[in-house]
Amino acid sequence: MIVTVVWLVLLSGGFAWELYCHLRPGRWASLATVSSWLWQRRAGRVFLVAVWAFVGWHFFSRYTAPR
Amino acid sequence: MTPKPSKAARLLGGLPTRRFTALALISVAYAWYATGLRPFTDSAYEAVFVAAAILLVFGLLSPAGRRTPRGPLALRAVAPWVALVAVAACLEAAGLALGGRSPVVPTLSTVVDHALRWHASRFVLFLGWLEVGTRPLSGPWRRMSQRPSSPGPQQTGPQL
Repeated sequence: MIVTVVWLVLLSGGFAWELYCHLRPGRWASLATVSSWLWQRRAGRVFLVAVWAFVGWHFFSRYTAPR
Repeated sequence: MTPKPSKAARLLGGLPTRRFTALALISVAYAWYATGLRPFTDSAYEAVFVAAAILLVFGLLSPAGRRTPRGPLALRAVAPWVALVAVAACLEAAGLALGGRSPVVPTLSTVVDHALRWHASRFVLFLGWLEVGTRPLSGPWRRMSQRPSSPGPQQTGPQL
């Protein structure tokens, strides 16, 4: 249960940090900035698409709904 | 003449309204179809593969990033993300070491599985996944469709 809460804190913290980076740009890089930086290179694009596809494959093709 | 993007379309990637509406409807229909498939089936794998293949092709043909930071990214600027990913990786490794289905130390997949129980929640998450994936493409293709106008100012990324 505690670790589940830690996961939820991490996920919500990530969303909050991304939002903060968008609202106060300059000092910190948002995930959008990092992905745009990677997107400039062909290898970076393939990497980003691979990560994105893995997330989709793992969560939407291989999920196990709890009973 | 290029149709002027609506405020909603500008917020959601800058595509002209008609094209944005068509893409949105296709995405919604596809997300509903894909999230209605049974997991671990060929059709469920194909639904994700088709989306990934389309994005890969458009990504490789795409001219540039949506926001293109100049120069290298400073490690200090991405330090919070590195820390967050490191903590997540440690938790995931601990969960996998305990068999992946431990109730004490669940993996991220086990936690997310609770949100994937219902078709509606899967549908919303799938739409979010599609939006995240297609977001980097919206800017470059919009700029290509607006040529030969001069390129806009590039956003600079965090520097050292």
